Amino acid sequence: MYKKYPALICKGRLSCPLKYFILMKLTVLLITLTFIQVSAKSFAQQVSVKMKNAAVKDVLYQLTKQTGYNFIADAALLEKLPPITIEAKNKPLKDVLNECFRNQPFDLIFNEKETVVIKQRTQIEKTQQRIIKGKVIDENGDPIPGVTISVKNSQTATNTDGNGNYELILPKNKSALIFSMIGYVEEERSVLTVDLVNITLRRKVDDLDEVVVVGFGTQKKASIVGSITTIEPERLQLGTTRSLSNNLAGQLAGVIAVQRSGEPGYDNSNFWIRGISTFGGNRNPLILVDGVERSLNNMDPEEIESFSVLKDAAASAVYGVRGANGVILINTKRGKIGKPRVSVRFEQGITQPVQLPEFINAADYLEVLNSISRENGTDLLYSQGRIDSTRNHLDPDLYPDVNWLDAISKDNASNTRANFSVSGGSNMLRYSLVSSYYGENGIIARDPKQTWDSSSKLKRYNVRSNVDLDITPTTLFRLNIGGYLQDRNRAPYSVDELFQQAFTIPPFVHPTIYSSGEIPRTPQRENPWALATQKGYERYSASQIESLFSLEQDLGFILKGLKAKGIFSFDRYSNTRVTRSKSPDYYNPATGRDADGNLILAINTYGQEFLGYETGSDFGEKSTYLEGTLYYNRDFGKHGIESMFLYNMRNRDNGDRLPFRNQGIAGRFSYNYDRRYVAEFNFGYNGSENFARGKRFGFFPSGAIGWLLSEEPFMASLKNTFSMIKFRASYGLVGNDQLDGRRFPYITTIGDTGGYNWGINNDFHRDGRQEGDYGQPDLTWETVAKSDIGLELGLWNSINLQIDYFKEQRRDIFMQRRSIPGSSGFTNAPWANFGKVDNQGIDLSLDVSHQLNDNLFLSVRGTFTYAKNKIIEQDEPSAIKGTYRSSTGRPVGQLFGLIAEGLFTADDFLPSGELKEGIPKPDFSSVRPGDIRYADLNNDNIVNALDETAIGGTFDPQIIYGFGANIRYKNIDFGFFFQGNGKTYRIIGGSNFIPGSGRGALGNIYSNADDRWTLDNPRQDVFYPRLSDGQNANNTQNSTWWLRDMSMLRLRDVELGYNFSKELMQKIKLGGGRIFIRGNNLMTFSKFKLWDPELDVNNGLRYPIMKSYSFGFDINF
Amino acid sequence: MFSLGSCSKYLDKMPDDQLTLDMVFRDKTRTEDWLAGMYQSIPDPYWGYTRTIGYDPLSDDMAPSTGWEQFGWNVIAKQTGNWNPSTGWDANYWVELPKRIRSSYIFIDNVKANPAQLVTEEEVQLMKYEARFLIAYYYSLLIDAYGAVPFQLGLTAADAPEDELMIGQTPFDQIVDWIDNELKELSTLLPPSYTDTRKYGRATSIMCLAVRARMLLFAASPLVNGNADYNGFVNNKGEALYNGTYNPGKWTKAMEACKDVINAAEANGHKLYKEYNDDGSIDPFLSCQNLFFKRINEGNSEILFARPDCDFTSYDGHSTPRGTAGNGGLGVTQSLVDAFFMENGLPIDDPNSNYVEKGFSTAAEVRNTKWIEVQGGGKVTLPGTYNMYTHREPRFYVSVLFNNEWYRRENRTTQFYYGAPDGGPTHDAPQNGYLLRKKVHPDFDPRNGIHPYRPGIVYRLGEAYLNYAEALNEVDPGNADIVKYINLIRERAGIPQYGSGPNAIPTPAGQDAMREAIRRERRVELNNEGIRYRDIRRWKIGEETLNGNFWGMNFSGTEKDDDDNNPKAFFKRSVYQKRIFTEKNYWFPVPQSEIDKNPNLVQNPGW
Repeated sequence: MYKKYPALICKGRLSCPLKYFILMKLTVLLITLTFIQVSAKSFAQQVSVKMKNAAVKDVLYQLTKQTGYNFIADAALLEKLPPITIEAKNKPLKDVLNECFRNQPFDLIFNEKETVVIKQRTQIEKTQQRIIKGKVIDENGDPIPGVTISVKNSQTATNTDGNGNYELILPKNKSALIFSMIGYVEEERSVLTVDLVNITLRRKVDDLDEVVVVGFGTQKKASIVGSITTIEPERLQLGTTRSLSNNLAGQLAGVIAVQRSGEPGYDNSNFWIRGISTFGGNRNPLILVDGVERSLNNMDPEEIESFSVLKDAAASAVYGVRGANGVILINTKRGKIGKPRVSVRFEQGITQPVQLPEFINAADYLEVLNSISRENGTDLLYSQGRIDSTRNHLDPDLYPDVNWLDAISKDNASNTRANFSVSGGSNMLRYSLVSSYYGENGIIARDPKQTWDSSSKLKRYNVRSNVDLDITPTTLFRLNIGGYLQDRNRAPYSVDELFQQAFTIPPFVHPTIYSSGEIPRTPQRENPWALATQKGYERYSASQIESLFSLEQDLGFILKGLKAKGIFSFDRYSNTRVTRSKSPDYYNPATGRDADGNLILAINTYGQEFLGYETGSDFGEKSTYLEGTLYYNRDFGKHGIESMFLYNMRNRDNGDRLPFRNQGIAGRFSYNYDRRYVAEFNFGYNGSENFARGKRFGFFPSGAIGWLLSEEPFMASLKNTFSMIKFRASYGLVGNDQLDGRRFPYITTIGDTGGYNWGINNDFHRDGRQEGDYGQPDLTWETVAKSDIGLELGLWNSINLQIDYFKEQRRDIFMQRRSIPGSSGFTNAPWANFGKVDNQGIDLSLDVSHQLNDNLFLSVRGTFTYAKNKIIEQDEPSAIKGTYRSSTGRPVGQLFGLIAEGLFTADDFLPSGELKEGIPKPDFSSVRPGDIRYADLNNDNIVNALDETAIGGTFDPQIIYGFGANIRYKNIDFGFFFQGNGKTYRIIGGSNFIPGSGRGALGNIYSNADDRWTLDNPRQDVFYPRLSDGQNANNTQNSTWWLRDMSMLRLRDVELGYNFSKELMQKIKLGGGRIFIRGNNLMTFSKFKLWDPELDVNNGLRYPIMKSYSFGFDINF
Repeated sequence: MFSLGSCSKYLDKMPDDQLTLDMVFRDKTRTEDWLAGMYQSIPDPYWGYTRTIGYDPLSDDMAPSTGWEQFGWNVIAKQTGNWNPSTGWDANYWVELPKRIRSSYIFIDNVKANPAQLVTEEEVQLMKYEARFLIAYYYSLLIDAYGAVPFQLGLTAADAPEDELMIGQTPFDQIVDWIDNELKELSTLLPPSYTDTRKYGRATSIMCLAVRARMLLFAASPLVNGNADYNGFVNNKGEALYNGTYNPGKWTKAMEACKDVINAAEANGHKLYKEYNDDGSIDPFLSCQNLFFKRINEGNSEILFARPDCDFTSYDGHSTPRGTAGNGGLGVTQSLVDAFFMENGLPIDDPNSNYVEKGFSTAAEVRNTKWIEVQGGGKVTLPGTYNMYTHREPRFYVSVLFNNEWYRRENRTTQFYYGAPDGGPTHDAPQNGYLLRKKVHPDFDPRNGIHPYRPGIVYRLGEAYLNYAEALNEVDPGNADIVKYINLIRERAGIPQYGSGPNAIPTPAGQDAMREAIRRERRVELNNEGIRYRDIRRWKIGEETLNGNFWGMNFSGTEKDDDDNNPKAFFKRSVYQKRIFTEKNYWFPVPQSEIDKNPNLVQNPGW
């Protein structure tokens, strides 16, 4: 710093320093500067001076004489100084000088060349290094870790730690700090006069310079013209279930998600981006974690730094033949400069089924059966005595009354989630370590008498370590290691099977276990309790390791803005199983008691005492991925360019005959003018090993344009109102090579038929073989043309609305031909790229956040997605196409059935019991009053399968929405989130659904059994038609009678939190702390009342979705 | 960085372990695998005729528990007339058999000698004949079920023009003639049997003749010979699918074909299976039972056409009382029970039959047999047996398991009462009071995993005799051979013969009476062998036999009582099912899905 002064001075009015008394002369001559030159050896030189009311310059003169030092000062300033009195004896020069200028606005600059510059202390040129400290908090008062604090016009920067605290050394000559953090409005503060700067950052509604994760890289928000939805990672902490996928529904515009089961380990949601646009096999989006294709289900939300959904062709065309179903990009947390930031989170929940079906008890069940006999005019099967004995639990062994659902399940279960993460780093090395634990106990009961545990439970340990290392100032090496271990335990049966059995076995046939210890079972049936608790257990252990190595080189020395990146990744998944199972001795249900009062029991099957042992392991899956990318991003004045060119290849080996392989190139070129007009071109050129040579690679281009109206000069005055107005439109092609049911479709395969034996001893066996799939060399991928028009609107910096209309046209859907007649003898219908589906809809999201006053903050958010598809072509048989039976022109998964017109009445029948002339006769079983009457659509006077037509809609919802709000008042915060779906239908029913259809041997009866048609009360508005003794094929047809609207609205999350005050936290050396209570799925609103409408089952018997009540805390330091 | 030149190789992966057609036929085992695939649709006389094909329950022989409908036994809906062209049929011959036919043509086109693996040119030639036999056999099964069907020889490509793919039905008689000629020719090319015991079950000349005789008998029968009902029923080309004019020549052809089988079979050592008592008399119980359980190397040469591997375990299991660890709900109809002759050889409706229905026997009934399923000393019925079941012919006892009958394996009597170990309320119980015993192995023991092996019998000499007698009676009533062959059957069954032997019964007088006697004999002898349903259809007696109430004992009866007025009485005739058979049921419907696909098809009459 000092060097500047001689330069300044020499360049100015002095050619070179003079010696001795010139001080005075100069003062006179030059007026502005005083120059005192002395010759001396060091500042430590001792001086003695004694002056009273002397002018400063005189004192300096004295000192010069004593020491030989030069003094440089502005003479005019020295004149202005008041006289001083000083007395010093053998004191160091420095001390004496400081004494002279004490309380004066002057700085002394000592120099080794025996020169002292005396300069007026100005605000800019503060010459001491200062330490600036402070804390950064958000509008909630929560500390924000990771905020970058950079000194304006300098290279110096730091980050806040886990508690939001920062500390930096302010370089000399600098006076302003800039506080920046993605997602927050950047703030600048002057530090001229203060050393402590605490600041509150406002969450940013929009920022054009914010970097958004896009396919194979990032782009500035201003230049994004594709349709991309992002979500803040903390919103993925929504639920307490294992799978991240369960937190997507309603949260992300454009994602349709449903959770179909609650079974630990099997509760992943199904989700589709912008709904379903193919009836082909693969509808799943491409999911990339840190750029590598991976599953999101077993990630802990804590691991995630960013989550983006790429919806249109502009965003996903770079994925080419892999991107047709949309893409989800997840990046994991990376370290930021700063001292270690530690955060701990823990949550403990108690879970309960959202809703289980309710069954009537055994005595009521018998009454229902008797009432059926009574209506049929046949003998009552159950005596009143038996019914009474059952109702009074006279002898539970002989007159059992078992609710099998209760028998196999507990009322409550639990789950636990804990996270521990550390991150930090220096300029050179940054790290982020996240470790998580998730544990869940299921509701399936165990038998405490058994030494082994058959209950369903799950434990998962996640770990992720991301390290960034600057090998050189321009070279960045990244190493990501992540993965999990997961252990599951359960009875050696699918839990859904247990639930189905619990429905199948009536309550009165036998108890769970006889008081004498024998386990009963109806021959050929199961004892659900024994299945759940007596047959051993099964444990699974799965592990996944994900690794990624990346090297990023700034090639600015070749061409400014050029950067190269290479990625290699290796992932491995494995899953092993141990089954310890046995079968107990099963007895036929007791037929009575003998003279001694012992149960009369006959053995049905012999079991075994010990647990068998069997292990299973599958090949697992491993995949390697290699990617090389060149980026060129640069602004030329008002012209901005962002571009990318990439090569990648992937090898996934899951133990199939050959590994699955992809390779290709992709590129992006985005141009913007003055951040107002944006144009972008993307392409993917890639292929897979699936197709014949010459048919392997496809070119998938896309283009998009955007206009940022809000950046137009004429809008500048409205910038505070319209913080963002962006219009964008895109069109492009994307492909799908994931064919369902057929690999290498160009090869004719040989199929198996199951074999045949010859020989007198039946011992000459040959596996049967026959033609399999007919090979077609021309077969190729599906292509979808996607168009999208979007509007992004930011208002008053607190409201953000994003709305998109989209249309997708899927062509060449890979399917089996449906019009090849059976007489041609093809084993499997030949495959073809034949199908066409159109899909369109809108998705929108709205965010509002507002700080009402210092203590009250409010935010509201909502999303809405509607996607409706239509089959255009599917090779439907010629006789069906165009008729009411046709599924062409209807959505994929359209439900079909008869149209129920009500119930037959006695008037419909002749005295003989035959239907009257002119009334269409159902062709399923003979009908009586009270049976369902159907419309005869083809007017042939017979109702049969040819009268089925589209009813209701599809089973997967076409509408998904969510909305919620957060309120914070001082230390207390409260939030809730509702999630709903619509246009989702299901035909309920199935085996033994109608009371009495299992003739008392099978099936339970739902608690609404009384809501039925009876002879005495022949209502039409009943739930059940006439009950019949045994199956009634007429009444169990798929029809509008059993069609139900499964739309629902769920209170997905409600949470109350308390933030401990900062003072308290600081006292115990913590940065921040919060405790919360939370409820998930506490309320569900639906027109359908019998069971949880979201479950994928037509009789309600499946592991239910759980509600939970939990307590937790967050601490960071 | 990465060169795209190596790229194209990166994806240049073709599975090299995947079997191709070429590889199949370069390799003996794979060639035989293909052959096995072609054989696969030969009907399984056990579970096939019971469940997947369902011919026995469709007839008036077998009565599977109606409660099994919920487990996909769609034959039960068919029994009750709830049957339309969209109704599923597990066997689905219309679609499944053309697959085997196509497979056989591919085989003929590709099979080749393989000297290295000792597959000689001769062997290849034989296998081609086998393939041709199967094509003809499967066409015979198709026309048996559907009548006229699309008929094409050779292969069609998937991308063939529409007029090659979408073919209509060929007139019935044209297909019959082709099968007739083809099988006749093959019968001169294939051997009558194989010395290699491991080839047992492969096509023989006897099988060719047997299938041909059965088909020609069908083609001569009233349903398609002189049936005017189908006049005007034409295919897409306007050709009449059935000839409505009676042609006696069809019977002659059938008769000759039937005689051809018998001659060829007997010339090659086939004869009725018999077992004897120590006194040298035929033991009809053991003969009629073990006919199904003994193999050719155990002295059973009655089998002309065997399917060596069958699902007899399911068959046995569903016929075994549930209290003995079976899921016994597979019963027989009262109609079958009533069809069995009395011990004296007379039907129960004969005034001289001594048939008593009501009441319970007071003494055990002892017969001359070594059959161990009865209590020692030939005690065929125990005291206290419902009289309906006493003094019946031996075939009754080996075919039907009734309530309170001795059950050797459990050392007790059966308990079919409601609430009793073998009875209701479950659907795994005899819904009409009977269980099936025919072809059910007495040593079958699910609790201990014992499933005794036996081959499935697709065709046996006994049927050939009865086929011949029936055809001969139409061609030359009064021919002595008619009675001869019926009596051969009756002799083995241990009942008095017509016109000769001890306690002889007068020979039925006249063609009609003889026809009736032959039909009765067939009903009894061939019950539950997959034949009765075809007989009912070709004789056009469906409306009489399969339409109306079906009877049995009282499923919900808890008391050993025969009082018709006692609701708890088990032993009283009770309706368990109302069955429907109308004119359309003489043929299976063309599957609706096929009608939808192929505009050139016509739906079968009435559907």
